[in-house]
Amino acid sequence: MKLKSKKKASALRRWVQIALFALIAVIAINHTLEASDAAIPWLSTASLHAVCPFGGVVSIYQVFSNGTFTKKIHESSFVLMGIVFFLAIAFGPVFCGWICPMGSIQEWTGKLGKKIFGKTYNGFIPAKVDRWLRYLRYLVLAWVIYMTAVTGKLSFEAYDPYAALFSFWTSEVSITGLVILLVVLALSLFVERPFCKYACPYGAVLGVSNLFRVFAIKRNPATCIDCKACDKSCPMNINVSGAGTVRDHQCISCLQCTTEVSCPKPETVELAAGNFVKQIRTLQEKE
Amino acid sequence: MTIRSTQLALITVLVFVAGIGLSMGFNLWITETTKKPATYAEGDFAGVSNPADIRGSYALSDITAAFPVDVEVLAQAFGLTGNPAPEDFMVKELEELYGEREGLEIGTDSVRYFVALYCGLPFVPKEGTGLLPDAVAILKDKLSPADFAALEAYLAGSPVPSTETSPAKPQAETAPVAAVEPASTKTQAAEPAKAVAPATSSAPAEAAKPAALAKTGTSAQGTGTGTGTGQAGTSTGSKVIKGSTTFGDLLAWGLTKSEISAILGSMGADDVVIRTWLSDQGLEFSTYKTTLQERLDALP
Repeated sequence: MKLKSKKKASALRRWVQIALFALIAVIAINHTLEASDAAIPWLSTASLHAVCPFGGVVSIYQVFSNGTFTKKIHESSFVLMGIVFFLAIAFGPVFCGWICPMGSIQEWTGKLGKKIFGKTYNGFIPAKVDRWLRYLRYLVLAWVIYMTAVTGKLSFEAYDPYAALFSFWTSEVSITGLVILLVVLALSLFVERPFCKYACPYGAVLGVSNLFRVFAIKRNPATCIDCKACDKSCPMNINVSGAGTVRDHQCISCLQCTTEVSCPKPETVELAAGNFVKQIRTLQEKE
Repeated sequence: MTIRSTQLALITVLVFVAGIGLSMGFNLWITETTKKPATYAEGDFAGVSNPADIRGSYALSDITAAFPVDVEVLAQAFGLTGNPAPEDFMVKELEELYGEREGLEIGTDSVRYFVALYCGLPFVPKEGTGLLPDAVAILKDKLSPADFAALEAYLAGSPVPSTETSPAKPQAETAPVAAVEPASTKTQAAEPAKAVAPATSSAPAEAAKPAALAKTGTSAQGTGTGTGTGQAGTSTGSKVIKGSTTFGDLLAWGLTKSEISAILGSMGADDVVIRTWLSDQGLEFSTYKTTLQERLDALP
């Protein structure tokens, strides 16, 4: 694939991320403006929690046990939760790789880190330590779900860097969340997507879809030249070059490893369903 | 079959648009509270609004729209008759207005409990929920003598003489909204050293409360979020957590720092009042108090 096309594919995801980030930011600002009757009339004034799909996840227990929502959570959160789950079953954690504003801002901050540290960027943490730290987010998830079920409130809100990111101009911002946000952004200079890798409870939920998603990242060993370009491009440090089908729980479906973006060989690393190698072989035989 | 970036981007956007659009079509895309409480799912009150779902964001007018109780009654019950527009008063402001009185919390759960009793609906209040004397007086005609007597455990303030049918508002207990001092947490923070003494001296009164709670609990079992533990009867001796209890008190009573942190997420200094600390975190004291008390009661 030509370099121009590769850059185009990479730019597309960046623009989608920018658009969604801007949308959430504008909605959050409009929600603040609503309090002083200055809201933009044609734009949503929904709260941050109303447009966050994770709110649906933490509220599941209360909905089924009491028939009520966790405080600050509304039906919209459940709709978004369903949409993201549907996409995850089909394509994996697309939400993480393309939509989540928190993931996006970590990536953008990480670009600065790449410029500063070059090849050593995203390689500071020893692999052995990193491997175990990746499971920390499941502990965070368990704690969040338990505390929310027990208290009926958004227990994670006080620590949520995403909430702090889109409410730092209001009096409702949690200082703890703000500190965590700043720490995450600082860490992003050294590690790509540190919050996603080690602490995001929603990432933990969606990551499970990597085990059974319909369309997965597949590598054709026959045409792979083992250049490791896919491994180097992966923001989550996944060993793509060692997999036939990537089933790593940390994959975020960003497609950075694919032939479209990083892999120099055509039809070698693709987002595909079914027997990818057989399909390529069949196509080649027809040609 | 392979999917390219462009296709994935398009599919993702389309799924979101279609999903949200479909939910709008079915009136499921709701991004703010409808101010309509959930209803009882089953039992004698199936389909009736559940006071357990009254939220802090509800105004008194929202409550009167869902329950057979007038704004005037609510205003009188919670000392808001001096407010020029009580119907716009939001329930969550009660906690700021009254805070804690005599170890009982006047807040959203108080409103839930009052509405439940006034309307004859099942509901179990959280541990530490209180009712103002005016609210108790209003309920006198609504409850049986036995149930009314049980309300003494929830009375936050001096009881109103039983001969008065329309109790005058005691100056100390009720006042126009604008003139009332903020919650007593500031004074609590300044007097942490006194926390232990009140706990031990009021032990007999505290021990009597669980009996009243348990009795009321059998007749007011709701299915909403406000359902209390109903297990308050396990509170024992002088180790009773109140609004003035500090972290140091918990440690002195036998809880460890790790136990406290496991419940609260973290903890403050020994001389910090737990209620103040939780309030600063945006958390409700009554909820965590229950869990902490249960842990305390489980200690040998």
